[in-house]
Amino acid sequence: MIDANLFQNFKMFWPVVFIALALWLLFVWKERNTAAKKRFYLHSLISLITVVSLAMLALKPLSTGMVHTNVGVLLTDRFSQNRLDSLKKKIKGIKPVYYKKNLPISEVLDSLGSLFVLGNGVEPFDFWQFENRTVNYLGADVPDGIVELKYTKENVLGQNLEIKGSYRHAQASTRLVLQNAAGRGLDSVELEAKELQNFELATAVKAKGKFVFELVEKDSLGKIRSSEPVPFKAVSNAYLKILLVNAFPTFETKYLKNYLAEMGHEVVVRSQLTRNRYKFEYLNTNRIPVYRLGENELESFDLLVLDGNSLKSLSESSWEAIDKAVRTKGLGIFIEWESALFTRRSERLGLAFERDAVSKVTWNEFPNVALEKFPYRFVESNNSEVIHRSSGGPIVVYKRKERGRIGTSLLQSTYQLLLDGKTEVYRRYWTDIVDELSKKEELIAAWQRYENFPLKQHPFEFELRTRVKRPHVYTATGSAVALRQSIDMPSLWSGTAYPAHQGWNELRLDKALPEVLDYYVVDSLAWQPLRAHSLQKANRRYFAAATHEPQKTIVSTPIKPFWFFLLALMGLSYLWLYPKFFR
Amino acid sequence: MRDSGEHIVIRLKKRWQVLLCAQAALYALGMALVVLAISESALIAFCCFTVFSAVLFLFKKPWQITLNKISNFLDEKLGSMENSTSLLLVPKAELSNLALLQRYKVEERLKSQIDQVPPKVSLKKSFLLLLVFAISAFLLYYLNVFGKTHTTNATIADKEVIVFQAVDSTEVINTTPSIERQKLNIRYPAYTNLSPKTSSNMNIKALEGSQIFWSIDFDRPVDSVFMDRDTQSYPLKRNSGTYLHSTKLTQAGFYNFKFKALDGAYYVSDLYAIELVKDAVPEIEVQQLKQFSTFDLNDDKKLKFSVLITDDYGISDAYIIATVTKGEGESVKFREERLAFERDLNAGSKKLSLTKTIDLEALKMEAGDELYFYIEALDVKQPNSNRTRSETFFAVIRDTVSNTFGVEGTMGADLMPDYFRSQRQLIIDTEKLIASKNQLSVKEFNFTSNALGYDQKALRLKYGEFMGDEADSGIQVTEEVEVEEPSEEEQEEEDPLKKYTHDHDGDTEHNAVDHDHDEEEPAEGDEGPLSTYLHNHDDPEAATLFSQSLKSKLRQAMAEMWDAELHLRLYTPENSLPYQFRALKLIQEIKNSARIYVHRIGFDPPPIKEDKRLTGEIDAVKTSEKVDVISNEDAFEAMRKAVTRIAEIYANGSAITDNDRTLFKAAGNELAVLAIEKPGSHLNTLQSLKWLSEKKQSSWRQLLEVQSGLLNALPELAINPNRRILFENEINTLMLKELEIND
Repeated sequence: MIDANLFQNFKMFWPVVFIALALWLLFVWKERNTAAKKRFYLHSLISLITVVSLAMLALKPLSTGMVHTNVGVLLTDRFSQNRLDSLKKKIKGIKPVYYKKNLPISEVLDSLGSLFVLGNGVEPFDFWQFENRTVNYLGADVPDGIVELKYTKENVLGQNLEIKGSYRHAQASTRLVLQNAAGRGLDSVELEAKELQNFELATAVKAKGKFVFELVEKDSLGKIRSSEPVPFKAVSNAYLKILLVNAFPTFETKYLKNYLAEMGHEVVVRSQLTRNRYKFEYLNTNRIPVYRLGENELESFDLLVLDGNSLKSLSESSWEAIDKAVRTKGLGIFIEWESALFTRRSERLGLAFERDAVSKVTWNEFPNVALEKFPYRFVESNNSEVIHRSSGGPIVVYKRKERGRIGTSLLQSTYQLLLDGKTEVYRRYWTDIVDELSKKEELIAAWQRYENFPLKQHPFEFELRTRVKRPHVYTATGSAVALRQSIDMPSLWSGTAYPAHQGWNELRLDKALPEVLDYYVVDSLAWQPLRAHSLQKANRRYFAAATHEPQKTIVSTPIKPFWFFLLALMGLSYLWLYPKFFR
Repeated sequence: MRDSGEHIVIRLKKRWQVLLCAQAALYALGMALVVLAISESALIAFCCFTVFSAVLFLFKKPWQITLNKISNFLDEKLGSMENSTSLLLVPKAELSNLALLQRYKVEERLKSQIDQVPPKVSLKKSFLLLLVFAISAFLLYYLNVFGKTHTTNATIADKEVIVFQAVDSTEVINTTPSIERQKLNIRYPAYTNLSPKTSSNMNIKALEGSQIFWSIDFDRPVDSVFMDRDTQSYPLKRNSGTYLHSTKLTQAGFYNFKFKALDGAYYVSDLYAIELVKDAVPEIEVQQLKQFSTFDLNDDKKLKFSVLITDDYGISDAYIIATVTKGEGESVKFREERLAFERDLNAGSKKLSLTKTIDLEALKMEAGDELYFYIEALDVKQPNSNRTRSETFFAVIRDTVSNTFGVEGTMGADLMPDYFRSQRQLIIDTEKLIASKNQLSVKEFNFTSNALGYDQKALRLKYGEFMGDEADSGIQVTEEVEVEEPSEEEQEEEDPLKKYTHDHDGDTEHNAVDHDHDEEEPAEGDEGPLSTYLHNHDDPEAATLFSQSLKSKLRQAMAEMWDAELHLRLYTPENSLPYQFRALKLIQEIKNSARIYVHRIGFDPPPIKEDKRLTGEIDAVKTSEKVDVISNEDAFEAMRKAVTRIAEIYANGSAITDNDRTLFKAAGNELAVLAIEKPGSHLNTLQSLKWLSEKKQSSWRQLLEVQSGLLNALPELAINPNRRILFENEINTLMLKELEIND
């Protein structure tokens, strides 16, 4: 009925009510003798208001409202003062807390019901302190500069170091220059004044080793505004062993063989001359005649290039051996398909074709070069993957077979490219195919890292996949790094290292093994915008799960007595003055 | 006392004198500035200044400014002085009272007015002149009007000094021997007539075959001095304290000096480039001569032309090689002659302008002969001179008798006489006639048209001969031509129009008569050009010369010619043209059909039966094998390794070992090959690499720069397939298996 929360002096409620009622009744009785009837009612009403106001002054009624309780705001790097001010305005009594990296903050957080985070956010290694707390990450503006960066941290000789990134709020005529350590420009791009724009830089890798390139930002006058390190590791090329089998000698095989052999790969060519007579060519390799394609013969090869007729005429046992080598050993097969074979579906190839009557096509990578094609196209299939693609659809496709791959191309007479002097196109075409299809080198350990630019004495998290049963990881100085095994995947381990010095650091799997992860530790001032942006993203991601509206509680506050006082004063004045003037 | 009148006058005199001296000095200064700009020698300029000043001083004669002159000047300038200034100069005691009074008066006035009379020397003008001199001096210097080089060979320019650095700086003693004098003497080959050049700049750019002499003096004795050039080291000979070395320039390259001090420390200098300039071959420019010249037999068969030959060091000889060919086909004969130019050439000059007139008759050339000639020039280079030859020019004397029409070689006999082309000629003439109709009188026009009609008739009759019919009429016509032409000319004057009509009619009449005659005497004059080929000239229908289709075509052609002739005779050549064209087309077809084509026949093997395929004897077919190693050697392996090694040194902070130095040396040798082609871009790297391979210490900066330079010099690698790496994990493998099952 009557809530105790309505009045502050609830305990005086009934006495006050009685007194007030009595007072009013007294007044009404006193007023009953007045002549004017109309006046009587008015005066009664006014006296009632006055008495009630007086009663309220004594009772102190309360008003209820939803109020944030114990709210704090965590101020991290680059927080915006404006946002803080508006937060303060909105939430009374919000308590600002300054964030310090890697320092315990739990006690402060415990005293707060909910928390806002302003600025770039909390370092990921401090996230644990915010677990199961109500945190609302408000963030900060995305900084200007390079905010996204993706680049090849490691590549083989002959391939490029490629850098792709996004620049936010560039000034007009700003140039990004990729330089080597001695300051020689290798590639550059001019930026426009835009909200966000992508850029790409590349340079050829000519020698192996660990290099630190620099991404320099220069203004229109050539003045250096910032210079960020880009560590890169170039590794040497591993050579392949390739077997080419032909039902009869073809130009395609001849030129492919020459190209691969010139590049240093071991190539064996078997061309059938007539029944049971072959021409063998051994390039960069020892004499190992391959009369039948058995499991043992195929063991050492990484890639088998077969022509369509050979594939068709293979004996069942040979095919089984090949199939087994593909499935278990990861052998790659490339079939040089022939026009006569397109119409039939080959179980062995496992890819289907349909006629499209298009005999010329351009490859997406080199849109100006027309390539000769069989007038067929691949029938879409779920488990086929594309190596080369033209505007009209895939032109080189492969299919996985457990560990190995089998692929074919719709192009014919690609050697014509060489004869036309388009060596680059030819090489690119075959390099990609051979790369993709050939047997992959099985690693003892594969490293995965998430931080491109780790900092000194900061956690550097890595993942290790290894077949070693009980792996140990050591730093260059020999101290061990603790590893944690994944519950679901026994081969997956993760750990955190704390690099001791700036520059190149390494993690080594079992001192005796050559498996090494080289990583470059940068100065804490390097890549600021990028770091800030990724920190913001990490925070947003982490706190998105935990985001709640800050808790609110119902709070009763006494209504200001002034208003009741005013009402009472006005009522009293009227009642006192009226007889004085109108009598 | 100082303000007394006399003093004022004396002051004015002194001021005047000073101003004069200043003026002289300013003029002298201006001139000296100009001299400085020209001579660029401060000493000369100073001497000039002194001399000019003295001369001007004598010229201005400041000592001649006397007090009397000044007083006169003041009297003249200031009227208020009342010609009494001289009173101021006379001692007071010598003056009368009146004069004294005047003197006082004048003195007072002079005091107040002396400022109004400046000495008659304009310093403003002098300054202006000085400014003019200064500007002109500046311009002279700035524009380098006298083409002076701003460096002097008298002293070794700082940047040219050979700087030696100690190989091992820990062993450096305080008293490092240094270069006192360095000299490079280039002696050009004698034939160039160039005087030897001496320089202190050790970078050499000289003509191939030049002799180079180095001489180096040290300020204190050293043990030995070497010159490293292209991986080889040559010791320098010592000759009374000077180290000497000489070589003949045969190839470009790089070199540096190295010396061993008495204490055993080695010092190495910078790397210097040797740039080789090859003697250029002479250049020949033939003027006023077409590549092909043709002469008619009656022409003045002379070829006149002039030749401009230039060479960088001098031309030793120039001549013309002419070849005359006589005859044609297999019987062609060649005769080669060497012709000299008209004027004896001035051997050794760098530019020769020569003329030559070749008289073809003097070369005993006849009609149909051809002359080919070119000009050859040799320069003075020793021992093997450069020679160059011009393009070949041709001169032909046209052979008027040669029969250019050749029937296809497949035919044994030349069946086609010249007049087969006359239908085309007729068309051309008819078109010309139509075109010039406006310019011709009616008479002329009609006359020509009729003449063409006659020609058309003659042609038709000639073709008729080929048909084998009306052979007589053909002969008749030729006779008629011979007879009629003079008669035409005779009658023309009397009544030309009548003549045409008469001729025309007569012609037909004549033909009609002939025809009758022909029937009566068929064989009478059958001696046309084809008479020998006709087997049966009695019976035209039996003539075997052409096949049936050809005959009909020829008949058709003749019918067209009939119509063509008709319209020509009616003076309407326009109407005649279509017939003529049709006739021409037919004749062309006839001509073409006379060509004989033989099909090439290839061998078409009969199809092999399927079951017989691959059943032949294959014993002789052996399995063959070829083992080959295609060398994939990297020509720049050491350079790549050096880059890698520097990256390693940089990453690990390790020291440079002896192995590294060997590697850097090898890399240097590889880079030198590239640097010779492009010395500008790789010289610095080569230099630094040299240092790295010699010295024990080097800065990070230096290392990085070498690495950068090497990477820049390295050619890009071709794209190459690579064995990719992959970590197999159980889940992926399972996934792939599952995928395949559901495929």
